[in-house]
Amino acid sequence: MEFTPLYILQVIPELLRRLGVTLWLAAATMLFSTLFGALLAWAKLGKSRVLRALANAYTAVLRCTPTLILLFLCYYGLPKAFAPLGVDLNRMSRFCYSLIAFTLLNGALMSEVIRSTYESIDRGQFEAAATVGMTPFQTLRRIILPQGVYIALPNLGTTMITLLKEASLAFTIGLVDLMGQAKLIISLRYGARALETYLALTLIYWALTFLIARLVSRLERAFGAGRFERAREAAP
Amino acid sequence: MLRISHLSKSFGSNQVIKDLSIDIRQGDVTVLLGPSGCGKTTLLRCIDFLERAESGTLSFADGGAVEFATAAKKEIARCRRRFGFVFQNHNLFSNKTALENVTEGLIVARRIPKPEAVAIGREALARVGLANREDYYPNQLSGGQQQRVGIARAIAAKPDVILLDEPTSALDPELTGEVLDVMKALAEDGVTMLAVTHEMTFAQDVAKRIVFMDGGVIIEDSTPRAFFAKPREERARQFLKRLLPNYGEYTI
Repeated sequence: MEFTPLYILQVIPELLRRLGVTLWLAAATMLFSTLFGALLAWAKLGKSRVLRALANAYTAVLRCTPTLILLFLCYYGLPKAFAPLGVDLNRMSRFCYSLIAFTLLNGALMSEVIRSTYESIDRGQFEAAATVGMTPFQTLRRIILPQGVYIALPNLGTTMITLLKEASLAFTIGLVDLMGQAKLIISLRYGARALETYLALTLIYWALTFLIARLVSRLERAFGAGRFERAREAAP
Repeated sequence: MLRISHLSKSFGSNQVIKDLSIDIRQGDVTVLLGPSGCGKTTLLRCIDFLERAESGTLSFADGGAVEFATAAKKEIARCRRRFGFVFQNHNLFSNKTALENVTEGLIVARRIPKPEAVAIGREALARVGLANREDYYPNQLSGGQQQRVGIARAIAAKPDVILLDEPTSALDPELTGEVLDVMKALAEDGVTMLAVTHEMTFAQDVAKRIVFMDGGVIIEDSTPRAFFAKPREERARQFLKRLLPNYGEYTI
């Protein structure tokens, strides 16, 4: 069959019908893996040796597991693991399985982003805040977090983009997201116009990635108080 | 106004401060001298609970005393209100402007209404000569200006005592002058200060009292005049000889 560039544009609206699934999956994974990652980072930075060792081991193991395999392990393994507890996961949606698998993996990655960010902020500012009477929580919220978000943003952006792309693997367990939709469209046409469809899909992912990158640089400016202001002329 | 008694602090097996006692009187400008590693900085940090001492009592003339080792969070907070702390490398909040650095603690910790805190902050910045720099971020200020903001932050809430931990040591030599001038002006205003510094001129000209420490104990406690003219202890003489190249040459 002849290559038809026009078809690329025609198929985009059809693909976009499933844009929501991809975005929701990425956003929910980002949210839960940030929370999970914060917990892991807290364990890594804490005083308990056991917790620290556990969190480090978890991170090491998860980082060594290919995403696709982890997805399968969750999809086939979780129902078996929970069956003895009397929990039936067979009817859990594929979206949930994807969310769990990606959160498990991304939590490990996020924990490293959060830990390195926390450690990059000068301890002295904690002490200074203490001497003016601020509580650790106030210090965290008003001094450390705003600086931390800024420092972490480039890493966060990379993590988000990687996640968005890797989440396309979820079609392998039958989730119909953008990628799943593309597969469906192609098989409905008995394999015809596969190239055009994937090109259309590529364009969509490019656009999404570009938007994330823009968002991150916007946020960098918003959180970069005290960093973007360059030296002013010396006043007399 | 303030008494520290029987303070001891170790790091592991290394006892840095040994059963040290000192009184701070109102209006005193006390300079702590001593070879490096003698426990000067640790003493300051223990007083403001940045380090936990193993033993010792902190008592105030207007009543109230706390044990360094066992003070609860609330007691620590109450004690810290009496102190301002100036760090060697200023430790300014890098995401806050000069004015916000000064007002942050007032607003957040002391719950002073913002307009009032801003007024206090402006006054403090004016005192250190930075009235025209209030909306500058730390990275837009020179080292000396940053340290002056650090001093403004420490004096803003009018604490009883300002603790200064080598406030000029991290500065380029040509910037130390402006910081020392500010400290001198505060001393003339009667602000009580306890300072660790290697600035001998400041110690000689501004201090009312010199406390010489070595090995975690106070060896000499005297006036600058007496100390610099003729320290009683050999260790203090050695120390001065190292720091003041001409020391001893003119005495007979």
